[in-house]
Amino acid sequence: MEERSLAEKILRELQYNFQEFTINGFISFIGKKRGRQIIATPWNMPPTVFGAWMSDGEEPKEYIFYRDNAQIIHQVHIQLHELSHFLLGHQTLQIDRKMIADVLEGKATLPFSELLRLRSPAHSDLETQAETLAALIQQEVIHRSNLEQLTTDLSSEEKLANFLRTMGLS
Amino acid sequence: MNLPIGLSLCIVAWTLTLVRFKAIQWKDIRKDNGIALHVWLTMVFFSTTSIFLIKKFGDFFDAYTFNNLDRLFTYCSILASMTFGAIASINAVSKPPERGAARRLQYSLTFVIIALVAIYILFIARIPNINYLVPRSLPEAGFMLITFSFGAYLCFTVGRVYLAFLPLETSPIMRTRTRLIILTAFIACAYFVVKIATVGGHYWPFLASQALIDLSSILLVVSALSFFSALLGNNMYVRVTMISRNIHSWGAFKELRYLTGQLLRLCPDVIMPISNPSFWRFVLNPEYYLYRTIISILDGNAILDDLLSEGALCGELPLWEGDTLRDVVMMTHTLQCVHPSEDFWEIVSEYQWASRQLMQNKFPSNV
Repeated sequence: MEERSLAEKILRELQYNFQEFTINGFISFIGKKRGRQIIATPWNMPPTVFGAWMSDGEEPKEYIFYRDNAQIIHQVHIQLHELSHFLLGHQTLQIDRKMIADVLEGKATLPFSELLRLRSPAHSDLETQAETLAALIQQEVIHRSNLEQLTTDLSSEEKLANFLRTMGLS
Repeated sequence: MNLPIGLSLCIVAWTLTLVRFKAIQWKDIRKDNGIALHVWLTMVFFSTTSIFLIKKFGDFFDAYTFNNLDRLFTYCSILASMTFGAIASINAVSKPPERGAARRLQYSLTFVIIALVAIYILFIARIPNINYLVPRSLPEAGFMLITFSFGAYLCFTVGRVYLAFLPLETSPIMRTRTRLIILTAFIACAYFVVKIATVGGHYWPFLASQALIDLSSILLVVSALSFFSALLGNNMYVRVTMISRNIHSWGAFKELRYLTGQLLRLCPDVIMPISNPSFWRFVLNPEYYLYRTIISILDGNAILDDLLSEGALCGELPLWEGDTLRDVVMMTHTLQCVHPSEDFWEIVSEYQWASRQLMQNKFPSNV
């Protein structure tokens, strides 16, 4: 219950219009709100790691890495989960410009092994918090999109849609 | 038709016709190729028919005009109603547009009405009021056969046009409305087929049975109610669509729970326990619960793939042994057969299939 109250508080403070939700739009909104540039990138993650969030120690940037071979629905979820860690102010690994340059040149790999495995027992409270916030975000998105889908119900056939309007049935 | 049913049908028909008359945006009537006008004419003629379906009114009308004139009016008005409905359907949803077909229906209606009026003047007006449902003479049989055959053809045409349109419709509410129109068309078609059978009762008495006559009355009332339900406003459809979708989703959720339960058993550290909502809690937000279930399945699926991949557990102790290992292999094999999709409902359906497969294969093996 504590996790849910915390998640609800964070979501209230965001004041985001979930009717306009897209994952990229949401990430960009959070970045602006928190004064950080958030870069979400698909990545070839090591086994058993779905996603990771790392912070830039020199510039106001946050990096979110997620599995490049996962289904889109899963990728969106992983991004929301990692974004939730950031929103909750959890601690994460700091990386610097040199490391990023080395990774891009292929001289180094990202230090995923230093991150604790996703939902590991040692960090289960933090993971539960992040998962609860991600679930709450999803609940809001689904609630809004569902209503929208059911209220914009005119036919996909234009002539029929015009007919419904004319008949006052829409 | 007896007085209470006839009167109720008549009141419903005229109320809806007048409500729609008020709701129609007459200034935009040309924008839809006259479809709305045709539908409204359908309602007007149907409502007119409903007056003559009240037997007491029909008798009263005939007493002050000509013998059996109510029957001529009933037949002509119901056929006019259905023809306008069929034309509206063709104009609205047929692909490619069948303008020739709409015109052919108009000509056919004119021809049928002329034939009915001719038979009426020459024969039907000269016989006493027809207070029976099975014809007693050849002109009566012809009079009824022409009407019912054309009626059945019109209903079949409407049903066929909307059946072809249904797969193209993407709006969930319009799909519900379309299904109802198809149902109405085929129930009405069945009504006319039964009526044609009772006409045959003139030659083969077994076709004049009371059971067939009762069946035709039931089909008439059901098709009339279903027809007017198809013309209700969207708010009603939103509710009906939501209820039917939620019930369907509940079935899917229950099926998927088996799969998530087994994944939770095999990968307890990875799968977040899923809440177990009651039906009423579930129907408040079914997509959310289904979505969370799918996410758990995807988590479990991915972690099993990872752990079973070559070299993933190099140097570590095996996680599963014996029966549990066999379950993991069976689970992984089943999940690998799932076709990837980007459509949420297809993903749900694929994992439902996987869940069913596991249940059928008496999974888990140690139970």
